[in-house]
Amino acid sequence: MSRPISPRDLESLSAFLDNQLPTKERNQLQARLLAEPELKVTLDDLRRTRALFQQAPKARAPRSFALRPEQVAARSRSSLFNNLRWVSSVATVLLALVVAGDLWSGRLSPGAQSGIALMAPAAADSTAPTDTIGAAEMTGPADEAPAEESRIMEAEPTPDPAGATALQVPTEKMPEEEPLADEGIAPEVGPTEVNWQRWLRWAEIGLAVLAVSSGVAAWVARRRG
Amino acid sequence: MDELKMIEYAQSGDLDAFNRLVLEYQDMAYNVAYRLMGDAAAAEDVTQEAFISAYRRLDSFRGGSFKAWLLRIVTNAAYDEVRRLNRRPTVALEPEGEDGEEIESPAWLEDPHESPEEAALRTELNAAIQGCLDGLEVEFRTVVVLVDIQGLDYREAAASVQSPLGTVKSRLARARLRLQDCLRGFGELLPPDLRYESKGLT
Repeated sequence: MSRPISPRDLESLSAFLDNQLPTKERNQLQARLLAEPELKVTLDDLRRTRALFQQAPKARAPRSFALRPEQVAARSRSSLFNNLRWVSSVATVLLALVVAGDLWSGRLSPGAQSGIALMAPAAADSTAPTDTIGAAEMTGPADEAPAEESRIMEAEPTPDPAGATALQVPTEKMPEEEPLADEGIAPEVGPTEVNWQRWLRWAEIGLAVLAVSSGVAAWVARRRG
Repeated sequence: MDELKMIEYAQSGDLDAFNRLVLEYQDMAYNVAYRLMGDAAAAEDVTQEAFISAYRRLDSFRGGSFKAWLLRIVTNAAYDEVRRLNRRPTVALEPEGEDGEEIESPAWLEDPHESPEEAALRTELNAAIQGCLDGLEVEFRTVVVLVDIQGLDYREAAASVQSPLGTVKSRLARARLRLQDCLRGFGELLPPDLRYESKGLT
């Protein structure tokens, strides 16, 4: 008794025609073809369909598609456009990340909003806290911050006004300042932080200029190409 | 010069070497584009665009079957064009002359050894085959064109369409069944030895 042709059977028959069935499956199918006439009829019809397409006339190229030098020249213009577009896209993404990071870190730091320099976050993140700062941390609440500030100010003989505003965020230079911390001197994080913020501004400006200029250049390259 | 050498020269910027590859493969590329597009002018555009694209991307060819790599570019170019023209109605196989009348048969279909009746039958059969192909979604059409018309094996076809082998196998089987149902309607047009005996599965 024959079974209805399933999609799986159809797939097997089609692959069988193209000799693409593994030996085991091929043998199984051959046994079924002997026992199931419907399967054999389906196979024959598929064979006819395949033959019709195999015998279909092949279209010949109506002309030569060999490339001319001017088409090759267009290649370099197109490459220039693609490269500029890529540079512009990357610069835009980096700019967005830098600006987002800048805004995010500004929000986290209360000093950035109030203009009051706070040492507590820097101390919390520092790998080499002084005893004084460590004690301030133990007391915890934000109202301890002004006291800390005054301690830091005492520790700096000639405090830099710009540096005072920059005591709010931990710096990358802190490990280098460990010897000073050992001597009971508070680390000078202010100038580093100012430098960091300056770098951030320059990075933002640089990326913005790069994104816009490469975008415009890409547009010009495309217009000329 | 063998193909690999020509590819190497072309990759280093030798346009003549690349053009020798173009001449070698342009009939195949045009035939695939023509069968996918169903329109001579569109196939010509797709073929030219594919060769330009191939030249631009030569650096991305890292060995293996150059034919499969090239056909991948041709099918991608055809996909883009098919999608762009998706709403356009099916175009007749025969190109139109300047007066808008259909030319009887494209040049590549002409055979000087055939009688006018035989030529007419062949043209009609070819139109039927193309019409049935046009009725398939482009992904299904592609595997039939690559395997049945162009003679690629499953692996080459899979590389060309960037799909797993199983997908090619499945698409081919389903496409063949649908083409069979379509061609069944052209009974007398089919060669006697290829006429269907059963009434079909669907």
